[in-house]
Amino acid sequence: MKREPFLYQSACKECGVVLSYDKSDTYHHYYCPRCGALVYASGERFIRVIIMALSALIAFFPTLFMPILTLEMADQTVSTTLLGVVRQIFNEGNPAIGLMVGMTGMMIPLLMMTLLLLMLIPLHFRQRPLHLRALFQIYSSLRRWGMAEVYLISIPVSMIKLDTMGDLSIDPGFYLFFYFLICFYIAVLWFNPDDLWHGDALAH
Amino acid sequence: MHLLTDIEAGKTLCLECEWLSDEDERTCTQCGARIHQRKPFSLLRTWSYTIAALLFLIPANLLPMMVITKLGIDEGNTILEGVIYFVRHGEMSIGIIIFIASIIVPLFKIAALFFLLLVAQLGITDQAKNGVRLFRLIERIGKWSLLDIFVVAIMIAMVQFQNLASVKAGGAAFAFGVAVFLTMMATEAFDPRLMFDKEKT
Repeated sequence: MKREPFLYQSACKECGVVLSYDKSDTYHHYYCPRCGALVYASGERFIRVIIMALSALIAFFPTLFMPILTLEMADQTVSTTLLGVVRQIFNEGNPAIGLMVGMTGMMIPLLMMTLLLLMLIPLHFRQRPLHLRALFQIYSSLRRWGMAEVYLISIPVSMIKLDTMGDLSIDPGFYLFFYFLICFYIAVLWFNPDDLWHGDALAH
Repeated sequence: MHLLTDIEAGKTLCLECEWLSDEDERTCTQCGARIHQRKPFSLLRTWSYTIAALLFLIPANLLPMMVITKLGIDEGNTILEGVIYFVRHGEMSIGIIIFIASIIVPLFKIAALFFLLLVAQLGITDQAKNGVRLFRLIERIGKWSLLDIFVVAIMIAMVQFQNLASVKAGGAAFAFGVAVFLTMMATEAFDPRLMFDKEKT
């Protein structure tokens, strides 16, 4: 289906050159002619982003309470969950580090998915969401502080560190967290912020 | 060929939603975010965060990252000692990962930030294109330096065997976390467009 061209004027975020591109073009990526920054890549349809964000959320809650690692050492067994890691650091008297890990590793990704759903579900049904501007501003300020992927990679790294202490095993929580992260990544990648104001119309 | 910039066109770009508003608008006419043609006090803020980050890296490298208590004996490990531990135990690749994430990346980021600040401050516009590439790189790798903090967190949670062995966070964990956050704030405060602005038309 041939779409109506929709010329959009913007500027490069990284060097300030004024440019315009065709927003109805869903096939090409646009790069800045001066500095090479990615200027525009079309987003996916809202419904696909919603499905990804939802499956991330559904995977997320059980992940919090499922064991990720178990360590056996001289007939004592310790296993921990994502949430348990944070609780243990608080108990041990390091609230600053606990807060850092808890916020960047879990709370911010969770909040981002929730905000996506709050914005996109009404838009999908052609309703204007309440406080769209405020929701979007919170979302975009959180974007760079989500570090769930760093948390995930730190699990295998600490396994190698723990290896000399006793018998280690990976628990299902780890795999579910991995699944959450994939959904999270795809949802963030597919979501194009300025579709919020110009609607899903182009994608339909 | 000269390309028109937002300043010449009298426009202000919203960094949140990429909408181009007129220069005299205070908030974005599309999403309502506060807009500025260039990030306010960008260079001043970037200088401050960068220097503060550099200062926090000193205790981060000298103090122990975590303290392992085995059968009543405390054993502190700095970041570098942690790397050496892995290399000695034949885990060369993990040693290298931790070394890159915890030592090379933070230092590289700070060096890169100083370079960007000098390019913008002194108007070395022929370095602007290299600068913006460097900026994109440090924006992307910034969060990975927190890897070691997450590892320490997991170690603390896992190694709790009362008298046999336990792990506590050392002073470096906090200092290192703060240093990484400061470099991320510095990257966020830096406006790469300032490197191009002095380009002759």
